[in-house]
Formats: sequence, C-alpha cells, structure tokens
Amino acid sequence: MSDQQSDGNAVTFQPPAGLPPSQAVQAAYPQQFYGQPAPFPPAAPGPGSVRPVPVLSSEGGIAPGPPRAHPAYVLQSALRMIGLLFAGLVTTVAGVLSEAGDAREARQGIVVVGVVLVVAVTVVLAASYIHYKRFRWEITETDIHVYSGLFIKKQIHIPFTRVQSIDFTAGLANRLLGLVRLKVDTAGGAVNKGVVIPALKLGEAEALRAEVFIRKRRAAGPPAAAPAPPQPNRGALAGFAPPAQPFAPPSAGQPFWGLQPFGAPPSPPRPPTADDIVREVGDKVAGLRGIFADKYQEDSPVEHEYGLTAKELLLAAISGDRTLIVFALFLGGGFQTFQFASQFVPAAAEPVIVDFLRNLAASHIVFLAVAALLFFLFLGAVSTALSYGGFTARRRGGRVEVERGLLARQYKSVAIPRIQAVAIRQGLIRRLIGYAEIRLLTVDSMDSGNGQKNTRSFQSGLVVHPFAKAAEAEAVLGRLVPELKDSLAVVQLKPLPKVALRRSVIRFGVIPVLFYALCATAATVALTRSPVLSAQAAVITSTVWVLVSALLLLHLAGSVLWHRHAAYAYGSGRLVIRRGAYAQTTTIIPRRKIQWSATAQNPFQRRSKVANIAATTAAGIAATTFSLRDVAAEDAAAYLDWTRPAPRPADSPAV
Amino acid sequence: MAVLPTRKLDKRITRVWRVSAALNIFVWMSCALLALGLAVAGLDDEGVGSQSAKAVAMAAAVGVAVLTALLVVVFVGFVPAIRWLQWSFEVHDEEIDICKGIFWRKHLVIPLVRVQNVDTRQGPILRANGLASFTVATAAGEHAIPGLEVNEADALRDQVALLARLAQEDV
Repeated sequence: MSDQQSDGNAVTFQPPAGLPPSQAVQAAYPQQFYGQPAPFPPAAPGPGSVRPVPVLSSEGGIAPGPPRAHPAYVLQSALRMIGLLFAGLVTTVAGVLSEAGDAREARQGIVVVGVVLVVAVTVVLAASYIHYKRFRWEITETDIHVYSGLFIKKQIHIPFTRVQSIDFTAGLANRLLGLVRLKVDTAGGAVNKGVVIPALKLGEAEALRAEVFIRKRRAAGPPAAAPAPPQPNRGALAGFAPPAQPFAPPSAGQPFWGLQPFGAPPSPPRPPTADDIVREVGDKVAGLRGIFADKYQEDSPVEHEYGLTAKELLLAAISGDRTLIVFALFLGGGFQTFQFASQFVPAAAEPVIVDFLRNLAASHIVFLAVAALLFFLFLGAVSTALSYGGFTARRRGGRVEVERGLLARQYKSVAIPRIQAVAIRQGLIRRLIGYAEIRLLTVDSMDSGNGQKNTRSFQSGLVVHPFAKAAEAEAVLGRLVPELKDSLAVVQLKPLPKVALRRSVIRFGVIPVLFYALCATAATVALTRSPVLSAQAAVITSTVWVLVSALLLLHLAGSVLWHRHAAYAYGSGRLVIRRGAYAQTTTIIPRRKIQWSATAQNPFQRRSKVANIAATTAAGIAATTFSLRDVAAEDAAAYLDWTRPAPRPADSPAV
Repeated sequence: MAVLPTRKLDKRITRVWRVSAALNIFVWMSCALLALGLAVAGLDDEGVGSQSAKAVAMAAAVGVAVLTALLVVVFVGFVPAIRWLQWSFEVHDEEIDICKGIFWRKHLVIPLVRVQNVDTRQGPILRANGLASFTVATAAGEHAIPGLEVNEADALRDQVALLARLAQEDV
C-alpha cells in the first residue's frame, strides 16, 4: 500500500541539515507523493523506526498510485454507526421484550435485532472500506488532487492559490492514535466546497500543510521573494520518537523554537504554582501526539504566541455560556429518559412514586433546584475547560493558528485576508467581571460531501482568545493580527437616540409579553373549564402567571439594557456595532470587507425619524449581515454615504 | 444627506409583476383547493352526513374564492404599481444605489470595487414584454435590477463591467 511506503520513508529518512523545508518534505516522501523525483535517496532505516502499518488490502503488496487516507477511519465509522444504533437498539430490545408472549418469542426478537445490527455494521464497514479503497489524494506542482467515488468517479483539483486554510480536528480516539481529519478550505464559501481527508497521521498532515503553503507562496508571490529570514537548521521531519518515551512532548529536552510554549522566560527554580501545573498539563496535552503520528516541526517562525493561565482557564470555564447550553441539553435528555423510564415502571409502583412527589416539601424542591444549578454550572465549566484546555493561539506567516482541546483537539488556522470581521463577545457573567471572548469571523466553506455532515456550531469563525480582559481585547488582537491595527483604535461609540428606547421597550418588552399573556390566558381558561384537572387548576394557573410576570420583568429590563448597550461608530476604515441585552457583542467590520451596505426604514421608524443600518460581508458560509436598529435617520444616511468609495482621482479615464 | 437615486425601471415591469403575481396566486390557490377537496372527501368517508359534508365543501370553496379575490386585488391590482413607484436606482462611477420596498424602504449601496460579475437575464414573461433584468454579484450575494429595456440592460451591464474593472485596478 502506498501510504505504507510513504510512511516508511517519511519516518526513517533524515534530510541533511540546512535543507529548505520544501525540499526536505519532498525528500521525505516518495516520488508519487508529490509527483516529482525526490532529490535525495532515502537513508537506510534506523533501528526502532520500523513500525507496523495496519494492512487491510487483500493483495497484501504495495499498491501503486497516490497515497490513501489512514485506514483507521474504516473501523471508526463502523464504531460510530454502532454508537448511533445503540440507543435505538436498546429501545427496540425493550419493546420486543415487553411485547413478547414467552421466552421463545423474546429470543426470536433478540435474534432479529442482532441480525439487523450485524447487517447494518457490515454494510457500513463495507461502504467505508470501499470509500477507503477509492479515496486517493496527491499533491502535484500546482494543485491538490483528490480522487474518490464508487459509481460516480470524482476528481477534485484544487490549485494551491485557491487554498485558504488547512485545518485538522481529532476526536479522543484519533487523538490517542495520532490521527487527524484534515480539511482543505478554499476561497468562495458555499460555492467552492473544500476537501476532507478523513484520517491522516498528524505528522503527515502537518507536513502536507507546510508544503501546500510553501507551494502556494511560490505560486502566488514573485519568484524574487526570498523565503523570509534565515532559519535555524532544522530538518522538516525529525526522526521518529525513541520507543522509550513515545508520548514525549516536542518541547521536552530542547527549547521549542527557542520560545517557551507560553512565552514565559526561563526562571530560577521555585515551588510549582497552579499556573505551572496547568502550563505543564497544557504542554503535555499539546505534545500528546498519539501512536501513529510522526514527529514534525514546522519551519516557519512563530511571530507571536499566547495561551491561557490556570486562572484564566478556570474563570473562563465558570463564566462561560455553556452552563445554559448543557442545562438545555440535559432538560431535553432528562425528559426523554423520564419518558423512557416511565414505560418500565410497574403499574403497582405508580401510586408510591406519585405520593413521594406529592410529599416533597417546598424546601426540598428549592434544595434540589440549587443542587441542579450547581451541577450544571460544574458540567458547563468542565465542558469549557475540556474544549479550551491546552489553548494556544499563534501567528505564523500570513496565518493565525489556534490549537485547543484537552481530549478532542482542533488545529485551525485562518489566512489574514480571509478575516471579514472581529466579534468581541461578553456573556452576562463575563460582562460583570470584565472579560470577553474574541472571535475572528471568516469566510467558511462547506465540507465536501463524502458522508460527513458538518456539525457547525451556532456561530462560525475562529475563537482566538476565549477569555481576554475586555479592556485589552484590542491590544491582544493587535499583537496577533497587526494588519487590523487601524481598525482597532479605541473609538467613542455613539448611542442611539431617545426614541429608540421607547421602540425597544415595545419591541422586546411589551409585544412578547403580550404574546405570553395571551397564551397564559388561554391556558387559564382551558384549565378552569377542564373537568379533569380542576383540583390542580388553581396551583397551575398561579404558577403560570408568576412565570409571565417574571418574564415581563426580564423582558423590560432587557429592552432597557438593549437600548443602553446599543451603540455604533464608523470612520477610519471600519464600522463598529455594539449590541445585546444581557450578553453584549461588539463587532468590528473593516470598511474594505463590506460587500454592500444598506439602510432600511418602516413606516413607524419614518415617523420616529430612525432607520436600521446594515453592512453585509462575506463572512460565514454565504454572507453575514451586521445590522443595528433605530439609528437616527440622518446618521443612517451619513453612514451610507461613508460606505461609498472615495471618488476616483480626476486623471483616471472617464467612461 | 444621501442623494436619492433617480433612474426608474421600465414601466412595463408592472405588467410582468402582475402576471407573475397572478400565476403565483393561481398555483397556491390550486394547491389549497386540492388539499381542501381531499379533506372534504375524507370527511365523507368518516360517516359525516353527506348534507353537512356538502355544506363544508361549499364553505371551503367560498373561502378560497374570497381569499383569491382579495389576493388578486392586492397583489395584482395595487402592489406592482406601488412597487414601481418606490423602485429607483442609479449607477455612479464608484457604486450602485438601489432604493426599493413598500413597507420596509431599503436603500442599498454596492461599491463597484466589490462587484465580482454582472449579467443580464430574461425569463419568458420578461421576454414577452421586451425586458431583461440586470444582476450584479458580490462575494456576499446578488442584487437584481429587474425591469429594463433589453438594450438598456445590455448597455448597463457593459458599463458596470467596465466601471467595476476600473475600480478594481484602483485598489
């Protein structure tokens, strides 16, 4: 198999010191990997460097042609299928058991379910194996080629100039195996689908990324452009780790690019603090490369790098919005579990349970509620800590790279020209303690369609700092992306006119509450008329009305807060919009990224002399519009004029 | 203050809008009638008296007829004319202005630097009226100027293509 061949060479061959990275990578891979002869003959394999590569091919021999993905994903997709089926199966088995008249019928039912499971898993295994066999990729002088498809053969060619970013993600299993899922993003959002290689060794992925960017630069830039500053002599591919310490982080032993991973200067020995421990764990996590991952160190210099301190990670975990999300998920899940469990409660036990619930004192309920809240706070904190553990953001060349995740790990990068806007977001708790999340909003593309549905988070883009001091957010960004410096200068935001407060209260306060009150009235009427629930009707209706009053208060407070927060500014090359009721988001949109702008006014707004302003950028999959309601009408008109390009100099040709 | 655009669409576009609105109403109402007919047929099967089933069918037919008449008066009678009054556009050297909308009055500014491609399109109704629509596409979506005389649309397309290229060179 070809990847066996390429791996063998990749890990055993030590390129001569001082070789430029591009050549070194080429040298490390066999001819067909890059479609051109390797400039140096591979060295003899050293001891300890030979390692088994799983072989699924029946031929056993080395298949010719371009490399394949790592075969591990064939098994993984089968496992995922089993996981998906499992929940359904449990229910089915339970149903079969409860329906079955006697033991024999039950046995037959289970056999049928088992056969279905085996067939499904076999089909998935066969499908992924065929996908594996058909899926090949290579990089040539000018493009990345991907061949796939069983009935319809697909060939995708992506020229290097179109490649915008190459990102990896690794779930926990892949993490331990040292594999990643690699995604090549192209310019052009939804139209140009990217390419996904479902499983690849981490080292190979890194080498591929470096090589593609080197070739991209070569293809785009003038040939005279020298490969930047003189680089220290390092082979693009370090040797395979000695078997004694297979999980040694790359920073162990020698300094990592002469830079401590978190930019801390070496200090005299002192008792380890919590920070040190987190830093060490972060290093370990970042250094954990898994079983199959080859070692690789990229050779372009890191210009700026930062991580999170222990305190920041802890506070970020506690103050995150995830608590609420986990709570909602749990409510949904809990309700289903309850429904599911209630099927198995024997009829005799029901009165006992009902009695137990009835006898719960109010204090118990309060205690339970507080305990549940604390529990969700804890779960949310753990979830945030897991996803942002080992967080590192760095600037390398023309890209911002972010790695994060304690268990599953993401390696994402974004090319600077792809940044469309910057969002600085503060949840409720974070606003109170003065911290914010910084996100770069970028042009996203869909995953290519090979069965992998993209699980898109509700907001796209790249978080470059999950927990920065709100006052320093601009400074953090300025160091990471100096290109945005102009757009980040602190500016006096202009609030909305007074009339907007009235409109905000009506829109966010009165109208939704009227709607709730209408529903509550309907419920009250229905309950009082209903003969079944007449006993509990008083309790239920009073609860409903208490809830409606609480909502009224929340909505009114929110609408006032919205008006207080809403503000905007334009000028010196960017538009700034701040909005949000309890949470608050400040969005900075460079003027050159505004694809088109608009104002809109409905008849009510015309009477109040206000208008909405909007700026549409290419962020997200198709486009993202950033807008603000109820700006004073003449300011809105002035904003629209500001978005007009400056008149061309008089000497330019007239049309 | 923003200068409001002054160029108007060809008056014949109102005819196009009327026809397409009428077609839309026809299609939707046919679907509604079909669904209602099926539902009434279902009622008959469930042993409701044939008298009351007939009454329901009558009521449904009358309802659909009234709704259709209302929609026709509004969307074929009034809306196209008002929409034409509100529609205006202007092609400047550096940007395109579009004003439109009946309830929400929108004013769009599309800088020519951002224009990626331009084209003219013509559907059957537009062709029957000797019109074409002109579309500019940016990285964040398209904007159409729907009703222009064919030659005017072609001229506009060529003009905007040229202006967009000049604007690109300036960047």
